[in-house]
Amino acid sequence: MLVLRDAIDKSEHNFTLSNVSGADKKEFTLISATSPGADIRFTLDPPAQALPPGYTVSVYLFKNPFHTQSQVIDLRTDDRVNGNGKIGYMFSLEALFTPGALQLDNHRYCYSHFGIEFLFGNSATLQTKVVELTGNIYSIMDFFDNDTIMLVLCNEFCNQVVSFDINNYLSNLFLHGFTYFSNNSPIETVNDDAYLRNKYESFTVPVIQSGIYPLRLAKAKIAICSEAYVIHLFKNLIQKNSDQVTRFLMLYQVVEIFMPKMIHLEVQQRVCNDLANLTTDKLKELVIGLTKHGELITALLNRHAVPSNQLSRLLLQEILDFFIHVNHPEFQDPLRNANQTLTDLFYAFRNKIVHEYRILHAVGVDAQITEAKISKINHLTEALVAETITVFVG
Amino acid sequence: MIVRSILEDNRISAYNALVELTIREYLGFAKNVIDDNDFQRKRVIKSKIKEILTLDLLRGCIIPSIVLAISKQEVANIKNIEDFSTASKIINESIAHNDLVIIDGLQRTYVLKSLEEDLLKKGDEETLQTFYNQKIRAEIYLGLSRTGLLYRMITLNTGQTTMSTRHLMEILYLDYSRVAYDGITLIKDKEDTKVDDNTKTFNFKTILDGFNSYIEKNEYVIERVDILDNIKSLEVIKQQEELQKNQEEKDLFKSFLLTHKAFLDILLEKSGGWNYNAEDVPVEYKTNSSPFGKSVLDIFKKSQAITGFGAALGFINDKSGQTLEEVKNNFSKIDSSDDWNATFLKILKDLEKIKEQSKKIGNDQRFFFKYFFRGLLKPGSDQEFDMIAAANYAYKEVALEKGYRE
Repeated sequence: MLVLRDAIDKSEHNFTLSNVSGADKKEFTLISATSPGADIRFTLDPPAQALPPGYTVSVYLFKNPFHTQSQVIDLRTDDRVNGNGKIGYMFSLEALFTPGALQLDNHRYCYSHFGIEFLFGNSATLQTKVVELTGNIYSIMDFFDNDTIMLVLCNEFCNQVVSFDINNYLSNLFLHGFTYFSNNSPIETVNDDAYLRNKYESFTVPVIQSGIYPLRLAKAKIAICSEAYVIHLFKNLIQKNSDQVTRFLMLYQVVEIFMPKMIHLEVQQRVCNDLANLTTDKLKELVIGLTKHGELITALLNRHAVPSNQLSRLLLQEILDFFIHVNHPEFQDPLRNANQTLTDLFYAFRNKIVHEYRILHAVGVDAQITEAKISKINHLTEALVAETITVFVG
Repeated sequence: MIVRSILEDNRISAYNALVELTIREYLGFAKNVIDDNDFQRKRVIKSKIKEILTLDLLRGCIIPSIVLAISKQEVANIKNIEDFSTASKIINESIAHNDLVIIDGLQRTYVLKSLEEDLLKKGDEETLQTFYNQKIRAEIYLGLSRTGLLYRMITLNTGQTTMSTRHLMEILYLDYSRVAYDGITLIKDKEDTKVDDNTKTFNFKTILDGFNSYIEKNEYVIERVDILDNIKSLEVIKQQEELQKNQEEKDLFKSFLLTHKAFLDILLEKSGGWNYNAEDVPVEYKTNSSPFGKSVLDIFKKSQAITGFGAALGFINDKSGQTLEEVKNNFSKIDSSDDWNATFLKILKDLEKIKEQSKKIGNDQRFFFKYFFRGLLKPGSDQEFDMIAAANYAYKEVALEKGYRE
């Protein structure tokens, strides 16, 4: 369904799909009971093909700063055993209505067709822009944000995954540059860090003749990705602009969620499974270590959700640069700095911005550069959080 | 229908006849005007206002004058503002031929039509007859030039929901899609007729897109504009039409179409009607997907090419004052420093590279064509009249502007 607003009294008129016609190209017609005669029509550009019966779809919206319009993403997951894990496709919404932009075979055409039917036929609108009723000719992009990517999931395929929920994959998709958004959670900021670009290009470069790029999502780590806050973060928070310090603390909440899980895992794996080999002193040392936040972060980043070396190095360096920039006395010794680990610095960064917030505004330190550095750290922390959720072995 | 008064509108050089007519007479032709013109604006009046207006009509209220226009040449026959009989004759003939445009009052017409339908459905004959016999006033502009008509449409729409210039033009030039001229047929999307692979048939909307790009000097198709922008565009049309030396070329839309057609004819002639042959593509020009077009016409009749053509010619006119006619006269100098097959394959390869890297394929291809035509046709450019040099220049510009990787 699409909604148009009266320019004068602001009342809303719902336009629902009434007809799909045309032999070569399909024209979708939407009509409104409260605004008769003001039909809206859109023509799907890829040539029409036969549609198989018995399939239904769900549609979600994403943006990805690295995606180009001709790329069609073939989404798969290790959670689905059959069909090589295929669950759906991602298309640039605008490309579907741009002459010659996409050449789709029968299989992909069906996804695009059903996806558009869902957009126009669903009882709740997915449109992300407010549109005034003018009687003019509308473009699909009048209703949706620029660069909108439509994920079309085949419900029948997804049902083969136990308790399938797209929310469980949002962190993994984010890690490849795809940020979820909706009319309730508009995109205010996107993470265009080179690390995410590399992740995206790892499956889209070089150019494939068909223009179809398979993206295989690892099995969802339900123990963490189904946490209510984690879902809230990727559905509603990460898209929004926020103060940079607040943003870091918002991201750090995921680490906090991991902490109790680390205690269980560490006790299970390093204490219970190895009890016979532990001396009393070693056992005491281990247990006491579990009461320390730093030790738990080490457990997370070194054993249970290990980020890539590249990401670790990038984040470590950015945090170190930050401390040097703000002239923090603990980080002025190059020799000592060279021995810092990501865990040390990540935990230190969290502690300093909470307990020594004033360092951000020290006299003689360029506040704009400070903010830019925290922004960069946040971009990498977003990647870190997404990656730890994705690779967590719990 | 009785003509009550005629005034002369000196701003737009047209007569304005005030007529009285019954609702029966008005609906007798207005329904056809709406039904026959799928570019007339859709119904947007909101239901509450419609309800009030309907009740008022049933109580015999007088509605504000509806404004209509006739662009027939015979208007010159009107001798003066007292010549009611000639005006009546012209109006009646136009009604008979459905040659009117509603320029203000479309929504009121929808309400009248809807009320008639309701009364017919209810079988309320007495109320229906009372309704039919009610009188309304209409102002009919006689002899409006297209620009005058557009000007009035814009100014009468002030304060209401605006139409884009592009939409106004659709209404304005609709008659070209009905009647062939100079052997050219313009085809609307809804018609079954196919746009053939020749220079005799064109897609009406695509040509309008190109013309709009010429006026706006902007290759993008959908432009939301305000009234002042509309008026500015109108001034451009008027000035351009005045600049055309040839009387035949005074209609800028027609002139634009003929210029584009001349470009296609020259390319066909010079390239020997080039066609894409997959087996004759050197490795450096191989494409990963189906090419943008498979013949001269398939490439240059697409919206992206025509809007780029329009935007470039608009730019050239702005910078060097060249009219469409003058640009057209130079087409015979177009050539390529490489052979024609390589030239077109290079263009196709560039368009594919754009497609693969673009975040907005359509817009980036339009951008490419704008620079292609700027290079090719701008007097004194380094690429002037050299197709392949113009293509190289255009791709460099688009890659730089859009940040493509090498």
